[in-house]
Amino acid sequence: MHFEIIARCSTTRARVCKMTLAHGVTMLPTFMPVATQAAIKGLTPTQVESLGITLILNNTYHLNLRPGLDVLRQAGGAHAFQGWRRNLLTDSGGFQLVSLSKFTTITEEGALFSSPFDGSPTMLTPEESISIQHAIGADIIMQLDDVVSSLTTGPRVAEASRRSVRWLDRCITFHTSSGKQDRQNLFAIVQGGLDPDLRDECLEEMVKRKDHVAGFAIGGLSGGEEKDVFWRMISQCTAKLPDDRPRYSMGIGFAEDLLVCVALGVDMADCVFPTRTARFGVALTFEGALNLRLKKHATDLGPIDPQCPCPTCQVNTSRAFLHHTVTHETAAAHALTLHNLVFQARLMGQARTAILEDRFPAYLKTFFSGYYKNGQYPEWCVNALGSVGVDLLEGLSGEERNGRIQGGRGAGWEYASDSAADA
Amino acid sequence: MASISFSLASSSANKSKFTPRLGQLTFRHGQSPSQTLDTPGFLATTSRGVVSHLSRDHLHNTASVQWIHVPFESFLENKPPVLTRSTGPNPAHSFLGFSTEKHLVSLSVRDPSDCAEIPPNGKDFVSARCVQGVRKVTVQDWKSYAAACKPDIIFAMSDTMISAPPYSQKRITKSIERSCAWLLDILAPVSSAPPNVFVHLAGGSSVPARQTFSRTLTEKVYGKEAELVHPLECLDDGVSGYVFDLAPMRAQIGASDPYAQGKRTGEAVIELIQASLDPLPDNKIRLANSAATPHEVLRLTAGVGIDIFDSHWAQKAANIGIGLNFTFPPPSTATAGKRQDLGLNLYNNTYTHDFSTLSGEDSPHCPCLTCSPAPASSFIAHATLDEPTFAGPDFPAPKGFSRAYIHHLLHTHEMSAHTLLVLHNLAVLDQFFTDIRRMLGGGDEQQFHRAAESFCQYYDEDLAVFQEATIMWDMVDKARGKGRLMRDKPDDV
Ligand SMILES: [Zn+2]
Ligand SMILES: [Zn+2]
Repeated sequence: MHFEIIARCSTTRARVCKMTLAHGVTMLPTFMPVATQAAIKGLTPTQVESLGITLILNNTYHLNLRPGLDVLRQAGGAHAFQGWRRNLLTDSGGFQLVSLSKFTTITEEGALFSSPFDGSPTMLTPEESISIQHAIGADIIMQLDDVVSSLTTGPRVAEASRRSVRWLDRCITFHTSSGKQDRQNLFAIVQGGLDPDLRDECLEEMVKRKDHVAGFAIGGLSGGEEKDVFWRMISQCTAKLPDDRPRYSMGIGFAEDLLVCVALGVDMADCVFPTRTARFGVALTFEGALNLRLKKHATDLGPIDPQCPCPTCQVNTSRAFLHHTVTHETAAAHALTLHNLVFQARLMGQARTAILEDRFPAYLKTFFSGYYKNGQYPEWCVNALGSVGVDLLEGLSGEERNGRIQGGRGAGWEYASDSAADA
Repeated sequence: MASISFSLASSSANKSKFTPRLGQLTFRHGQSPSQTLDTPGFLATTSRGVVSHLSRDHLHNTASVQWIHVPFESFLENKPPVLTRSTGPNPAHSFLGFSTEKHLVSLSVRDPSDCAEIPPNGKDFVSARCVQGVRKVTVQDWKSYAAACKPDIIFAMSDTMISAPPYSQKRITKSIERSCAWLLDILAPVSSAPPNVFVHLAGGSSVPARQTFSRTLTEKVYGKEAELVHPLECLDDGVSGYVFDLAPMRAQIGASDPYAQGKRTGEAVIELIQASLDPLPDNKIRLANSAATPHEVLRLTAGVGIDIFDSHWAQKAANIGIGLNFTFPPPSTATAGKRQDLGLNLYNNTYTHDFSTLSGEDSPHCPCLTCSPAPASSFIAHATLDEPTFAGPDFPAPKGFSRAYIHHLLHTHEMSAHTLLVLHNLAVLDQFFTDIRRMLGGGDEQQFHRAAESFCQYYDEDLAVFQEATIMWDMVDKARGKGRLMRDKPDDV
């Protein structure tokens, strides 16, 4: 990997970086769409590439089950198998193992689970995870970590955090001896739960191993914890991670989360959200998300967003047409997936341009005022951005500020529970 | 709306009425360059106005699709139907995302492949189906929808008998009378009638009834009717093409096995179509909906000179995981024993490790986006600095998707499988018609008949591979949950 910082925001910790991998350049910060089963839902790789997307994610757990390593090896790796010519990242498989398999037991050796094929006890060790990721051949591979839910408390969190460090060492040893470092880049995953001391401990240990890892992911978050705790953990990690390594925040996909993370110094994020929500008829826009199943869109002949350069909006696909076809026709899911992926890419691309031109704080303000049309900003966003010198409510008095702050996810969403949704 | 003309090749004119024929359909929208569609050829069918599984960019890059047929009934769930709200010179094209440069769009009230029970039609309405149930479409409704949507071609409403036979003489007579009256209604007054009206040739499974209907079309109109359709001499003068809906025809004949229908009803269907065409002029397009197999396409081309077939069966094959790979003429003459399948059932585990493309290594090159994907022609730049993103190492030209990959997508319930299969199947169908035309153009009609005969001997028309794929499709569907789109629970948004 060649990693170069191109520009920095003079206010926040945001930065623009150029990451060169075996399958081309990816500019950071970026959002990575998820192709769990080696396909971005309904799209062809050519379509995804033409959207200006240069880095996608495959899930190791799923690809190991199907098509299986034999097939991937014969195909010459996951790139060739799915026809994807650009950069690819795989996770370790550990997270899915814990969340999708009922009988996982974690031992020092690895994660013990019952095989989904025949129920026989099977062990996923750190070495095995790296070996599988070698067969898949992704440009960025992740260490196996000991995953605990971010809501877990007590000694298990410390155990998992320390074990993740030991497993990182095993991954490094295995990966180094494989001779694949020139084409595949190992990322560490910082654990430590929601406990600042444990986070620091894990961070310190992992940063010590910096020379053997190409980048760092921030793990153990996005599992339902308070947003206020979430951003503080991200901030704590980005403050201490080495400058000259990319930072990857796992499982982040909402626009406001992405921009806050970028402001805190995160370079990469992934989430199934934009593709998943597309299948249920939701289009993401800079003015909030549209639920195209709602009756209000049934006669609207305008596109989702006339400014949007995606193939769906460019040919003026109307909201009414999408309303007519969503949840009935796969082509409607394709149309919305194309749009949502472009929305994520625009959000991050515009952030890159803003950072480069050193007007990122203004970009944040413009985004929030457009996205939260009622003027109510989530409190955690205001606080998180305030911590890096951007006051979204600049110039307002104490009283006025309170009126503009709210808990929860915030506005910008059309709820499907709206009684008209199924009409 | 396009201006359309149809002409038969000189080699096909002045021949017997029921021989295979070559023709050319020319159409043009406004100032767009004029397009030609060679016949015999095909049209693509739609579901809710969509060529299933194709995004608009894929549809536009699929050269084989020139004519798209839209059954209107799915739009009946709202009043007024949303398609009629579209505006501009080509409202249906613009709402549905079809290209006026490339696509000819036709509209019928009902989906011609749907033969499920439905309440009977009335004196001035057709019963049609939408997701919310059955809707009545009157002649006036249909005229207003046609005026609002401005499709290039509109099918006059027809009183098709869908309930199980036998039909009383009275019912057959009523069907003919209504179909004639509804045709007259859409043609009158001629000054405001849609320019390209196709008529479904009525008469059910009765040879005399079919002859009667067709004769009525060509009879000189008198009195009030003549006034209504002035200056037309007869109804047929206002008609641009003839439609045969094979699905209800098969039901009327009484064949029950969907996989044997094509074969079993071949002769009977041909006799009925001949009865309809006999009194009519030769120079109009003959369209057959819902041919079930390429065998049936060949028989109808050979036996009654059908010009356009829909691709419903090939599109449906993509839904159940079939990648077509038949050729015309067949690769060799049949030998005794098992007949060859028309396509590959990609659910089958024999493809797990098969890295060849759908068309295979030794078959002729398949131009579809699945077998021969094109590199992205442009990239969206999202930031001022994005330019280096698009350069970089020399990216290898994309390779065709393998059978192993499509097999994987089918078993993991990924929508992309069907996209890749539709793209390919439409290309195979296009090649099939190209080969038919080439052989007919050779001038030796007997050669065509021999090739058609050996095709029917070589390829299995019982579609055993389709049945097998349907079972496997069903198994994956059950194992994976509720269908492609609704597999996961909706987000809480
Ligand atoms: Zn868009
Ligand atoms: Zn092909």
